[in-house]
Amino acid sequence: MPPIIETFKLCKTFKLGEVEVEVLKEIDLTINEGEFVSIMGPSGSGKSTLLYLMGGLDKPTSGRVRVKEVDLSIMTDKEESVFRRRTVGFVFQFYNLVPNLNVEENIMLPVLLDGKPLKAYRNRLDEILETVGLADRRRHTPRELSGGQQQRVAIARALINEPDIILADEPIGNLDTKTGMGIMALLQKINQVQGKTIVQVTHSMEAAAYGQRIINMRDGKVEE
Amino acid sequence: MGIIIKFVLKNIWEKKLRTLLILISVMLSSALFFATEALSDTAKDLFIERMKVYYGTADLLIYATHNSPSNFFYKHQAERFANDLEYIVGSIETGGNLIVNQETLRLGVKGFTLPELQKMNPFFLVAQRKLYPFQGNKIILSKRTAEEYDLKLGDYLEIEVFGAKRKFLITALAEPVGPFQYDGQNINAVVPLDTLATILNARGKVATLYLKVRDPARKGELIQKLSEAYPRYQVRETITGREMEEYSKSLTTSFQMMGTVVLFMAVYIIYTSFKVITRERLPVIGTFRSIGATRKMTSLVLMIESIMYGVIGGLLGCGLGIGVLYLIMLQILPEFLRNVTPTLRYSPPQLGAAFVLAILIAFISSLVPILKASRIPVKEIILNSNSKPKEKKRWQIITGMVLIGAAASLPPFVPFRLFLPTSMILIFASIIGFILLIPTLTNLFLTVFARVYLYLFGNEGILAAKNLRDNKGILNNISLLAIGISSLLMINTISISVAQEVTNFYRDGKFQIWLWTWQADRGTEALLRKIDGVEATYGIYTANYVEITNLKDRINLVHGVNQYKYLDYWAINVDPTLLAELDTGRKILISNTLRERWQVQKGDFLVLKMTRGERKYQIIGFFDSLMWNGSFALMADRYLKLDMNRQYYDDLFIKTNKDPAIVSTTIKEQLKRRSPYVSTMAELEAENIQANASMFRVMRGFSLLALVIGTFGVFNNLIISFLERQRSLALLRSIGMSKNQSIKMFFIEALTGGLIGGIIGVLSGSLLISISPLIMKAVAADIPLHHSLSLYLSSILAGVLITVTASTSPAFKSSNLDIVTALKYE
Ligand SMILES: Nc1ncnc2c1ncn2[C@@H]1O[C@H](COP(=O)(O)OP(=O)(O)OP(=O)(O)O)[C@@H](O)[C@H]1O
Ligand SMILES: [Mg+2]
Repeated sequence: MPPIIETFKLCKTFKLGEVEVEVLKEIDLTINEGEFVSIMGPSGSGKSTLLYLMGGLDKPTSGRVRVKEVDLSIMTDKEESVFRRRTVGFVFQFYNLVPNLNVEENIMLPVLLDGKPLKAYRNRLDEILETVGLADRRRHTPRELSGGQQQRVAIARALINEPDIILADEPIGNLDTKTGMGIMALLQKINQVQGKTIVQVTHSMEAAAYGQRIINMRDGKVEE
Repeated sequence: MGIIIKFVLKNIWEKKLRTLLILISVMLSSALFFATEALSDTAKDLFIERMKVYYGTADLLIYATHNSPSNFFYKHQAERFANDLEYIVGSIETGGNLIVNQETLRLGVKGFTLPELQKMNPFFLVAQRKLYPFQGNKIILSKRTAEEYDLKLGDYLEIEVFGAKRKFLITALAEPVGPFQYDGQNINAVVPLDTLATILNARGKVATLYLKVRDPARKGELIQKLSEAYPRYQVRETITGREMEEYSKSLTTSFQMMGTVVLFMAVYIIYTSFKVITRERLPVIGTFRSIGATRKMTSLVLMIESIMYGVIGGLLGCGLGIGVLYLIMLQILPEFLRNVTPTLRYSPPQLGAAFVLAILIAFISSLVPILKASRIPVKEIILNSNSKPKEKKRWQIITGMVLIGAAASLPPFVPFRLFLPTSMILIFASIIGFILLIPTLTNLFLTVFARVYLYLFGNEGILAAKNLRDNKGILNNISLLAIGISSLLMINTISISVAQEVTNFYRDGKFQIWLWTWQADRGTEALLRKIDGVEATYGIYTANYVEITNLKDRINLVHGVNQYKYLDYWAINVDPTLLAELDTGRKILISNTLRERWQVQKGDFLVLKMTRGERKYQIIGFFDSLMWNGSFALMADRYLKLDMNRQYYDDLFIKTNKDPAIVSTTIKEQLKRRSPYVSTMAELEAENIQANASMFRVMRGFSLLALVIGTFGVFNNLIISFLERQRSLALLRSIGMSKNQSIKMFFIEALTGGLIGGIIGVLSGSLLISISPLIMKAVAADIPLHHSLSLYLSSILAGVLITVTASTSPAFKSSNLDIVTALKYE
């Protein structure tokens, strides 16, 4: 399988006043198309930072990230936005739904931002709602959903624009084990049936077991 | 306690912008309250000041009327009451012409003895030569007049009085105060009383007596006794409380209205700010409560905070209020009093009241949010599970509709006596009603806009419309805009209408020159008609301030009508057959304003107190007019003449067929001896517009203030809502919203908010305008209000401008948001 995400000597340092914290130290990493990878490691080791850099939410201090053979660092704001809309889908630990929009509207947000007519996505929406098992909750607002349901909405939103990559930061960190495993099974299905590349950050061995590869991080370095 | 105060102060200090906004709100409302309160006293002073030229410190006046046997009378009957009086000052005063440098000026010639004048209306001489004994052809001028016309002590002045030219020697110059104050029309000069009496063949007699009562409580009793002593002369108070009240009321009412609006906005701003404050403090409150603090304690902390705002805002407000009062004074001061530095009159109680009001505003506006916060159970605060009751919404809609319905439908049923209080209540009701309906109305508009926006702005439009739904910050903005815009609309509509109506009033007169002169009769008319440019004249009998004894009120102006001529001179919308009917007996036509005020019908009788005693007149109809604030009636000239015992015309209306300005000068020239007062309609109109202009300037200033507070409020709300939305904005960016899209979304939101605020403002504004005739009728005249489409459109535009300008900063901030950081913060 060809590589889909590659990092070259990726560094990230945060400046806290005078002190510089080196969070990522020259990370070289390749993730191949169709892989389901889990990043693990102690708290503060730089997992989230790495994931955000791969999704273009943040800029590296030095080094490069290439996604589908395009260097993220040379993208304009517009290109970056389009990349976030179409190439990657994010899932966060705290779901991050827009509270005053209902399930459908939350899911359709990326389509809306892409300037596409919503009507064209009716069928796709039904399909996705079916996949994540929320067909009967389309008009509910996030407030009226359980944590697990909210996370399903977030996953559906990540999927709507058919991105090739899903980046998930502790997607089940806030859920009980049973619900969590349900979400993992869903991600696995998406990976296997739709062939999406999935990179997740997790603290749970059980969750990592749903994927094919584990990347361990410690002090800003990858220990494979 | 010290710790709590410190905690509170820290909170106040932390949010500088919000603190500033709350303080400005408190400050402005207490300042305006104070200024309005003090203005009423200051205005009364101003009125007294204006009248001082004529009356000095005197409080009673005796003079001849049409009814009196002679124009002159003796002082000695009054001297019987010397024990009750501080002074009895006699005078003969007349108008004359002063001829200097080939120019003729109108001169008020006041005949007094100097010691008496000094008692009644103190003056200060700056130079004198051969002043004493003050008798013969001596004259005292004001220093100002002397400087203006280059006159010196020892010069002879040529003065025309009682139809003859006489020379007077300038023997003293006085400061331009007291009797020498320029009154806007006449230059005043003092000559010996005896000199005028001799000319008039009335030695030892006077034309007017000025009296000052020792014990003000006995004024009424003395008027009674003096009237008996001078049975056919007029005895009255120099300045009646009523006149003074009316003058100050005409000034203060508009300020009260504006002040109320500002107050209302302030209350709203503080209320919303405290909603945010309490929400912010909830976690702290929860923590406090979970470690054992009582509800009272946590509420107390918040209350202390609100009182602090009140105290600081109140102190600043008192200072600002004095400044505002001064500014208002400068604006309303008539031209001729400009040299008198206005003495601001305010009392410690007024300052105290403004201060207390400041604290009350802050405290009461914040009370509801504070109490609400204290009622939330600790568990909910900590679990952050804020359950939202749906019931409340329906209740809001119903109350809102009821209030608006009441405001829209009640005005026709309000009795005149209750006009002022009811209109104030209804204005409050409509504003509150609209605020309650704003969430519902906003959603309605949004549904409509969302469709349009899809075509106009694409998907960002839909997104913006969705963001606006149930967005507290936006709703607050819309409310603020609606309050501000609607009240501004009302005030501007009133002022524009008044200005237009004033012009209309002079347009109603179908003649070009208005003339007043002493003893005008057919002879005068004949004289006038000979003047080049005079086409026709109409001499009219009028009566002012006619008391209606059966209604205990009065009519400000009654015209004695000649049915064949009247409508040629006044474009009054009245049926000519009714005018003809006036001639058939003691019949009267009254203005619709009076009809409404008195609730009378056709056929009712009015008992008029006339010179010849009480007379019964029957009402035969009504008409619209704004003359004398609508307190105006018509009767046949023969009855007015008869019952008021009139020999001479009171006014002469002149039609011209040449440039009225030129004709007016010719008339002045030709009738010089009679010293007439001649004015073209254009001049009268200009005078009136000018008199109103300064008033409107002040009102515009007030409305600008309201806009400024509004803009501040909007800005504050946008910042607050930006902070609250940071996370969801970051989220949108994380799923692919570009910077441009984010900016675009913000501006569409601002545009929509402004648009909706503007539209609702116009809606509630037109409701307020429909209520304001009540105020107008109660205060001044029954002026038809002109709705102005351009004013409505510019209001909506103003709303949009305010929100769009205020959202520039949050829009650009949001586009430069650090996504990762914003996402992390819970
Ligand atoms: N904006 C920032 N400013 C300063 N330091 C930061 C910032 N973001 C992250 N860090 C630091 O970078 C390090 C790595 O953070 P990161 O969030 O990637 O850790 P993580 O591996 O995801 O930990 P966790 O498992 O707790 O989520 C931490 O030490 C953190 O303090
Ligand atoms: Mg993390």
